[in-house]
Amino acid sequence: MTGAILGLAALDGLLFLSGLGVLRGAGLVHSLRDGLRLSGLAFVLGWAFVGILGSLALMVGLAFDGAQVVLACLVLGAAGAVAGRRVRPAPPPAAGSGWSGSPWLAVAGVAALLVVAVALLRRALVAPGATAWDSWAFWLPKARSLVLFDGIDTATGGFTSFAHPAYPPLVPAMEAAAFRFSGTLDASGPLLVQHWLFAVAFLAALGGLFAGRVSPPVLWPSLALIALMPYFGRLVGSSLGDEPLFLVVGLAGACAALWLLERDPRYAALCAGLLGAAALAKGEGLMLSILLGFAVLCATLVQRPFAWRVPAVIVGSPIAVSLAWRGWLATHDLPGWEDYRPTDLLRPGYLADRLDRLGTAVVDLPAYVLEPDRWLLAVPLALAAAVLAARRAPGLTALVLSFVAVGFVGIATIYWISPLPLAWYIDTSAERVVGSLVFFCASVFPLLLAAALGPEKDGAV
Amino acid sequence: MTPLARFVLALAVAYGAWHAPGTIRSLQAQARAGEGLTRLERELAPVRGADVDTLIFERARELVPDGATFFLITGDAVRVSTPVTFDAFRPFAAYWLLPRRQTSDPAQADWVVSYGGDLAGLGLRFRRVVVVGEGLAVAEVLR
Repeated sequence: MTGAILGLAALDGLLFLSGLGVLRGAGLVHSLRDGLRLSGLAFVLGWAFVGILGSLALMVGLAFDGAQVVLACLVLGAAGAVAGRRVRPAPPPAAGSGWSGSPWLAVAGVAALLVVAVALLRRALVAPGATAWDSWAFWLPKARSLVLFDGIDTATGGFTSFAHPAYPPLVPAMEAAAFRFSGTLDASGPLLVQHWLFAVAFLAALGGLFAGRVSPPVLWPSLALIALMPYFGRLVGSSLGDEPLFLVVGLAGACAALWLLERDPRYAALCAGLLGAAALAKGEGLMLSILLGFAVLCATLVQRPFAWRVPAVIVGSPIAVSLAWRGWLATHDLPGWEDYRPTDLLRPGYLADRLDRLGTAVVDLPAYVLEPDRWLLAVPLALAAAVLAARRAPGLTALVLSFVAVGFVGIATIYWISPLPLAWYIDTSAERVVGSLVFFCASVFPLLLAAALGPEKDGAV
Repeated sequence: MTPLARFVLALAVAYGAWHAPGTIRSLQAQARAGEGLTRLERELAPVRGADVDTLIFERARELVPDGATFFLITGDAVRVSTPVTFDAFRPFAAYWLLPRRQTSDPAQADWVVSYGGDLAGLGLRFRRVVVVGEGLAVAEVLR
């Protein structure tokens, strides 16, 4: 186990450095203090950007083996370091809300985060991995096949022979990288520690992005609320594609919110990059990315100046990488998504014949979104905070309300147009597909609350 | 608006605090359940939940060489407590037996892994059939 952990530490160090390079290239890191504050974000960005490069490498027939992982990390890190010399450093975070609150709230939040992190780590070290059906039915088999067959093997028993062959390859590619560096194909032990680290980095990323913008008594309890969500514990280490998808979409939402508040294009660029990874993480990642871009567009309508270029860039990245994957599928004579076909939205007769499915989905889905035993009060609290923040940060309010609305409609539409039996489909997928909306809400909740508690000032928290 | 916003924060903190002990207890229980398991038991644990006899996977890994193709067959020669057992057997076997390659065509298979299936009904000739348990067998196809 020790050797495997050391191998993973090497991989994680490389991912961290590559993400740090991205942040340096964006002008967001220009001191040791910045680097420490944004270390969680650096790790997640490194994972996401290396994952995109790895997916593209697999599509062109490379194995994305250990040497190629190292090369991808070094190229990203070096490119960022070079770009960082030319890019103007970002200003320090905008001043946070005027509400200071009790420091004990911050202490309690940090303590809760530490307790959950330790409990998750202890579980990761001893518990079985891959306990979710889909994880051993196709997510981990695909990752193992990338290692054992040196890349995407389309022959019998290879990558595309498992369920959902049209799902993009980023998550298996990064699991495969963990397998290669740890020297074991086990689903438990080192791999679970890797998932734990990703989850901790996600929380640290939000903390680093919002530090200075949101007062500690608001920020740390809000982050603790994410860690305490029962579904968070189920998600971390599940080896499902949903796990990175939710966290990456949540972080992309936080970056989009910061762009709306500060109009610093660096955050829009980070959002676009993260959504590129989301689109390559799972089938619905592209839809969620487009809807988030649409929500950003809606937000600029209420928070002048109106801007369409940034939302276009935000959706451009996930569309571009998805097209690359679609192209790969087409050249290998593989079908697209089998759960639903977006082109069915253009068939009025088809849609009319199954209108009852839309009604059922619209009625059933709220229970999954609002279920406190899974998500605590993440969505209701975020929506309440969004309404309360409307005067001080109308763009942020519009972003949250519009993304929740279009996200809900988008998910309901999938159930509407899918040929799969509706009751079974909702029963087996709804609690997961709503997760991106929930994590988005939970991720931007600290900013919303800070805006709601803050001084009367339009457009800033 | 600020008093309402403070109420939202208070509600978030109170609700999180109310649920925190349960969340921590649940994580601790999962950790305790994993303690004492061997590496093999941890790796096979997911499919034990579907009441699959995991001995078939252990023996198949020993018998079927890396790179060989195998065909999976199920049937009523084995008693199961739930139909989910059969649903779980196939994908888990395909995962567990990598880098051996699962084929959907028995005529292409070097080996057949049977979980209650009718080997004779496949129309193949076998070099050897290793019985793993009642209704469970790993058979090498004669070429």
